[in-house]
Amino acid sequence: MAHRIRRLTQTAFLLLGLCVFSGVPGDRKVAAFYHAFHVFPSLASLTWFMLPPWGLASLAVAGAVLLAALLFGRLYCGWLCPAGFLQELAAGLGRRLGLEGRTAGGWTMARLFVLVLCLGFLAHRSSTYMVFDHFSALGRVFGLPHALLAGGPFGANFGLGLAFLAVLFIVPLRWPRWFCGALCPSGTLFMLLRALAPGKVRRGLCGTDCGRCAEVCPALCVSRGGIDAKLCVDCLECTSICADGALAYSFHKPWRVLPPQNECGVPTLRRRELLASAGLSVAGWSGASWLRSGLLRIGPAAAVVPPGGKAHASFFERCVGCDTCVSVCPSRVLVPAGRELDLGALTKVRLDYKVSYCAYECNACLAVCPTGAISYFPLAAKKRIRIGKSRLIKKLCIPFEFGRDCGACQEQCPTGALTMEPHKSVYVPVQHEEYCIGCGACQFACPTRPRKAIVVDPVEVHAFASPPKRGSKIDCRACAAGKGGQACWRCRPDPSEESGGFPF
Amino acid sequence: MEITRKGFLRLGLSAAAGGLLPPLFSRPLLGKEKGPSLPVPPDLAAVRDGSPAQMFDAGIRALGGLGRFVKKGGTVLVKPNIGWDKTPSEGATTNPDLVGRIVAAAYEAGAKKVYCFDHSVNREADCHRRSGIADAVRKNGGEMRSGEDEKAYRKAAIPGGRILKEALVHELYLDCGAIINVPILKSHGGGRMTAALKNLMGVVWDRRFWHREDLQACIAEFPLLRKPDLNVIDAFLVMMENGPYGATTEDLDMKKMQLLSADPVLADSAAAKVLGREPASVLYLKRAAELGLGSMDLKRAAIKRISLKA
Repeated sequence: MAHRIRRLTQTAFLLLGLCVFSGVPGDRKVAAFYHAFHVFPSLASLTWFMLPPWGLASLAVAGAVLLAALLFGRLYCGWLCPAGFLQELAAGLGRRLGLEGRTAGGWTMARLFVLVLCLGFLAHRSSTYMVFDHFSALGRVFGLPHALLAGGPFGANFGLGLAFLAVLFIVPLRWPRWFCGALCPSGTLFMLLRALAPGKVRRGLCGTDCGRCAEVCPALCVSRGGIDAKLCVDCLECTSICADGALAYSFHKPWRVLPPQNECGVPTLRRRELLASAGLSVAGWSGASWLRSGLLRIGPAAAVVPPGGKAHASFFERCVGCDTCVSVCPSRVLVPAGRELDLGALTKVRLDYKVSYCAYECNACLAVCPTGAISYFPLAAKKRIRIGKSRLIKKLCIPFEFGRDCGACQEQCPTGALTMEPHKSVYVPVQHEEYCIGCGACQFACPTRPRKAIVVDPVEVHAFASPPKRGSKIDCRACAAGKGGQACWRCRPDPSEESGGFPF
Repeated sequence: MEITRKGFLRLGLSAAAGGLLPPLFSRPLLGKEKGPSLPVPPDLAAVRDGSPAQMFDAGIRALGGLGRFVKKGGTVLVKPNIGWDKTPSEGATTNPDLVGRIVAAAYEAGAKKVYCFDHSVNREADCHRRSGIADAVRKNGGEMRSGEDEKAYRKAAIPGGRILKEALVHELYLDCGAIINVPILKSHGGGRMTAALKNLMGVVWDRRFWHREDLQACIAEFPLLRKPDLNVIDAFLVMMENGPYGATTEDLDMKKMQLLSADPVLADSAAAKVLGREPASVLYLKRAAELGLGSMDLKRAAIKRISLKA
């Protein structure tokens, strides 16, 4: 029974994740609710002294997940986590193939180090924790088909996605839930909270020694000797199968010392391990700081970042490279960043105007970001966010240089930042900076090769551009004052009646 | 009564030429002649003050019915402007009611299958949806095709093209029995205006080539490959300036007009006048006329002017 319910909740959470990560249209609140379950990205906002993307509601959900672990054990890991679920499925296959057999029990120091490193990155406002964070890793795995369909680019995120794919489906064939017990920073956090939890799976005196518990445990943490509390995810598989009630989910005061033959819930940390991990923690914490300001420092960026990213610095600090925005971008202008950026930005995203441009009537990416790296703005506001600025290179421009009509850039400009004005015998593009939002439509449309005659330069800090340019010659006073020129179309007399009301 | 007289004369001329000249393109060259009085369709039907669908019905009746252009049992391509992710009220794409009415009328005229597509500038799915055209076409039994798939385009040589010698052209434009070109009239930064001739840019794959090599020449030369059988210029809501995207609706003028003609150059010349410009100021019109693709001479054309004002 417990098994069936667990499979149900796991499947539901996986499907929800698939929808959220692949941008199946839905309520933004649903996505935010799902994001908030994942402690690492959703609490990252707090290091900026800001609330998570959906504010207090997100915070409440994230807090509830932590509180649940503190009271009832690793319920998230055992009953919801899609990464854990997928590993269990692979482990099931491995079991059938006779491959499984190793636990991740020996990785305690490694996982503590990873947790501290990730917390260090968090504290230093760096999203580099994304390398280990299962949530953003899942996004990259779900993004793999998208990258394959789009034909690339196959950058750092693609590689990390493939690596996590192996962690989900190949490693567990022999090492069930290896990631959960060896690397996952959220899992380690939950493990520590579980140690203090009153409610968790405990083992009492075993009378029959039947060994069925070991057969059903998805983390291989229970055996005749007891439970390895560092690995147990409180999935209740063993308790529902235990014939003599030795294994049970029970509530006790966490500080109560149980008789030695009973396996208690405290992680079995030896003193040497404890000292070593303390040392590692210091190393991890300062290592994160050192990496952040050294190797992974992100300098002035040479790329346009999505509207809602606000500024390069804050965008790159928060983006965990889950690639959700890349998957939902209908115009496919959002791509995983490549070598054109600093090492620290390798896993981020950027807009590539060689491939496409940012669609004016779209704010899809703003609605899906789990970390607030891309803040949400309603469409009307997004239409005015300046993410770059166009720059015309007259030496390459066809009407300027060759005296032929072109107008490809102005044709696509959605805000009137480009107009065509008479110049010699042709019309040439004229820029009106105040309206430019840097959407890249002009650069994408420009037909010159190999270099474009109009390019969009990134702006370091986003701002609101003026509302789109108003209509021509709206000022009728100039016309009435007879200041030369032809009357605008508004003031032209109606065609005479003899031509039937037509101007011809 | 001028129209009747011209039609009268044209019929006389065609009778004199032994019926060799198609009546539509002949010009009265001789003096007054007497002959049997039969209705001959005008070169251009200009309609105003109705809904787009009403104006089409009145205009096509004046041109002698859609049966003149659509063969029974044949296939028809309706080519509107679906280039932009914009609503009909923004005047950037062809009126969906008009497109729907034309699809229905083509079936009424005996068409076997009516297709509709455009090589949209913005993302096609957005354009199809927001313009309302995909709905209108499907509701009337037409089939929406994609212009985003390069595989649907075939290389075609442009006979007599000097700049545009060949192009990747959508198979529907090459294969359909009849082509009804349904542009919306707008000002245009690169081409000066967009109507019948410019709308055909939406059936080729590589538009950047046109912009790069010589936009005006390419627009003029492309119909050497094939002229649309009928042009219906939607001038209901006209973008007078700053086209073709239109960052604002302030440049829109409610003209409530429609221009129908088999001659794209003639229809565009009249359209230029609606925009308040001289046809001669639109370079591609001059070039197309020189290439013999049609006439810019509005004075000598037989124009049927229809007002639907109650």
